[in-house]
Amino acid sequence: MSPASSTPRPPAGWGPFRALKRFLRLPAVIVAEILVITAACSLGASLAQAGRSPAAEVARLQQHGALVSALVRGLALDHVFTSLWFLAALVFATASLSIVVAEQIRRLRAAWGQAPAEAHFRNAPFRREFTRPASTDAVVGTHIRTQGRLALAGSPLFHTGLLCVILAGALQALFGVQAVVDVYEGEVLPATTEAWGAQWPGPLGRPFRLDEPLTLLSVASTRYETGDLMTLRLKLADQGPGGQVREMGINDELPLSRGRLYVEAQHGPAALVEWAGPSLAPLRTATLLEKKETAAFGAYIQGPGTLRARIRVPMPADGRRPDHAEVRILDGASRLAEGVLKPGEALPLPGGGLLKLHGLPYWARLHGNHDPAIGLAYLGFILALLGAALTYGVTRVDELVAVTPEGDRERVVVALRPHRFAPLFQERFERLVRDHGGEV
Amino acid sequence: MKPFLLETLLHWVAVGFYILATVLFVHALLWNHVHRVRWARWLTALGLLPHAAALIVRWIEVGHGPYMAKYEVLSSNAWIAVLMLLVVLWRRPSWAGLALVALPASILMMGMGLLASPQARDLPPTLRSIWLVFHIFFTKLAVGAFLLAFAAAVILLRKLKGAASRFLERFPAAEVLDASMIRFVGFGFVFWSTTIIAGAIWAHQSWGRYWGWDPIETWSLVTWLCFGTLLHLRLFYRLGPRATAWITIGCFGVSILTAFIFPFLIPSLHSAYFQ
Ligand code: HEM
Repeated sequence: MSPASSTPRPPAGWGPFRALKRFLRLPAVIVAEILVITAACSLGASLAQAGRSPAAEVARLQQHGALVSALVRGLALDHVFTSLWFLAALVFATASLSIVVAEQIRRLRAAWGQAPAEAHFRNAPFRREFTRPASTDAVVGTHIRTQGRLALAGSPLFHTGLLCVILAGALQALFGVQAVVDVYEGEVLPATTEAWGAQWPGPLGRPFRLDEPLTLLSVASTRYETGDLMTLRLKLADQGPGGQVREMGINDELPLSRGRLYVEAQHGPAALVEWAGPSLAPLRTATLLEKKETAAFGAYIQGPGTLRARIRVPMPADGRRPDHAEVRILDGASRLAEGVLKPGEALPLPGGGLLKLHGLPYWARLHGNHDPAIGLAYLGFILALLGAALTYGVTRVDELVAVTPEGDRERVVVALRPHRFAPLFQERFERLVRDHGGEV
Repeated sequence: MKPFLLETLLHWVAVGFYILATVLFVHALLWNHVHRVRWARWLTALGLLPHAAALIVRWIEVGHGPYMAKYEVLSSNAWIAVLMLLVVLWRRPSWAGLALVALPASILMMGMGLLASPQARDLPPTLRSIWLVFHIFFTKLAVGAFLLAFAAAVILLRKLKGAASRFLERFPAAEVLDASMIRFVGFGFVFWSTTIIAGAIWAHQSWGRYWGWDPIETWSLVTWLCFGTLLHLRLFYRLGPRATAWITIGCFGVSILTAFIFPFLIPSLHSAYFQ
C-alpha cells in the first residue's frame, strides 16, 4: 500500500529546515509518533511507576530477572512518563502537529470560498442523466450547491486543539505549582510560601502563596446514615478589619488572584492540649489527629521529658462533632494515668502537674494550585471536541443539477459528490433524482 | 408504592416489552414479514419509556446517577444500547438485523442487573459533579458506537468471505457496511473525546490537575490513540475494508478492556469506588 497522494502533501517553501519539515510531515513518521506515544502510555499504565506505585512494586520491577532489569534500566520503564524517549516522541509529535496545523489552516483558507465547477462532478460517485417533459416553472441552467462546508474546518480545529492541550500541559509542567497544608479551625494561614507544608513547583515555577492571610473559621461536614462523608464545607475569613468571609468545599474551589484553593475529603479533629506542672513552663501543642480506626481518630502527643499522651477521639455515628477525648499518659511503655476529658477539663499527672484539653477543633487539608496555562488547556479541549464533531458529524456534499432544453423536453443531469462516506448517500441521491423528475 | 417496588415493576414492564419486540423482530426478519419491523420498533420504543422511568425513580431515590451499584450500571447500559439501536434503525432501517443481537443482549443485562444486589451505595462527595454525569454518559455512548462499529466489522468480514445466510442478507452491502463502520468509529471517537475531556475538567476540579497519568485515565488515552491511529491509517494509506475491519475489532477490544475490565483489576483512583 502506498500513501494516498492527496494526503499528506510535502510542505512548500525552501527554508533551511525543509528536509526536516518534509520528514516530520511523512505519513509513516506521523503514525510512528502516535504509535510510540501509545506504546509508552500502555507501558506506563501497566507497569509500576516510581512516585505513583508502592515502592515495593517498583523495586520488584527493577529486580525482575536480568533481562527485565536491563529493559527497565535501558528504557526507563519504571518512570516512562518522564523518560527521554517518551519526551522526545512528544516533542517530535508536537513539531509534526505544528507543521500540519499551519498547512491545514492555509488549505482551509484557500478552500473555504472555492465553489465547485461543473468539471468537479465529472467523476462524481452519483451521477444520472435523463430527460423529462419541459416544465414552465423549472429554471433552465446549471445549479451547483455545497452543503456541510463546516466539515472542512473539522480536522484543522481538532489538531489546533490538540496542539493547545500539549502546549498547555508543557507550560503547566514547567511553571505550575501544587501545595498542601493542614489547617485547624481558628488557625491563621499566613501569605508566605513557608506557611505551606509541602510544595511541588515545576522547574521554572514560583512557589505557591496566598494573596493575604486567611483564617480557617469552620469545617462542617454532613454524613450519610452509614457514616460515610456526604459533604465538606469550609469557611475562611480574610485577615484585617472587615475581613470578608468566603466559603469553599469539595468540587467548589476558592479562586485567588494567582491560582486557587481546593479541598479533598481529608479532615478530622485536632487536639489542643497544654502540659502544666510546678516545675514546668506551660507547653501548648495543637495536634492533628489521624483516622486510626473506622470510627475514631487518634495520635501520640509528645510531652515534657519522656512523657507522651495518647489521645483517642471516638466519632459520633450521626455526624455530630466529638465532645470528648480518651487520654492516656505514658512514660516510655508504662501507663501513668488515664481518663476521659471534655474541652476545658484536665487530667492530673502523678507527681504533680496536669494535662489540660483546651479544645477539639476540626482540621482540614487545603490544597493550593496554580496552573498558568489552564485557559489554554480548556480552549484546546473546546477546539478539539468541536473539530472532532465537525469531522464526523458533518459531511461536505456538492450537488449539481443541470437542465438544458431539448425540443419539447429537457435534459437533466443530477450529480452528488459527498466528500466522504459516499455509499451512505445512495438514498439521498435517489431522492434528488426523483425530485427532479427522474426515475430511480 | 415504595420507590424500590415501583422501580422493579417498571423494569419488568420494560423487559416484557423488549421480549415482545425481540419475538416480533425474529418473526419479521427471519420469516420475511419485513413490514412488521415497524411494529417491533414501536414496541422497543414503548419499552424504553418504563425503563427510563425506572432509572429516574432510582436516581431520585438514591440521590445519584446510575453509576455506583452493578444493578444501576447494567440497567443504564441496557437503556443506552436500546436507545442507540432505535436511533440507528430510524436513520438506517436496513440495519434491522442488529436488533436480533442488541435486544437479547439488553434483556440479559437487565436480567443480570435485577438479580444483582439492589442495595444503594452512598456517593462520595468528590463524585458529586455534573462532569461525572457527562463522563459516564459519554463513555456509554462511545462504547455503544464502538460496539456498532464492531458489529459492522464482523458482518463485513463475513460478507467479504462470501458467507451467505438469511441473517446476513438483512444487512446492507459490503461498501455500505464499510462506510458505516468508519462512521460509527468516528462517532465513538467524538464521544470518547468528550468522556476524556469531561473527566479532565472534573479531575481539575476535584484533584487539582486535569491529567495525572492515573492508570485508567492513561488506558482511556491509549484507547483514544488506538482509534486515532486507525483513522490516520485509513486516511493516509486508503486502508481496504478487510484491514479496517480487523483493526476496528482490535480497537474495540481495547475500549472494552478500558471501560469494563481494567477498572476492576488495576488499582487506580477510578477503581477505588467500584472495586
Ligand atoms: C503527531 C501528531 C499528529 C499529526 C501530525 C497528525 C496529522 C494528521 C493529518 C495530516 C491528517 C489529515 C488531515 C487532512 O486530510 O486534512 C490527520 C487527520 C486526523 N487525525 Fe491527526 N495527527 C496527529 C495526531 C492525532 C491524534 C493524537 C489524533 C487522535 C487520537 C488524531 C486524530 C485525527 C483524526 C480523527 C483525523 C481525521 C481522520 C479522518 O478524516 O477520518 N491525530 N491527522
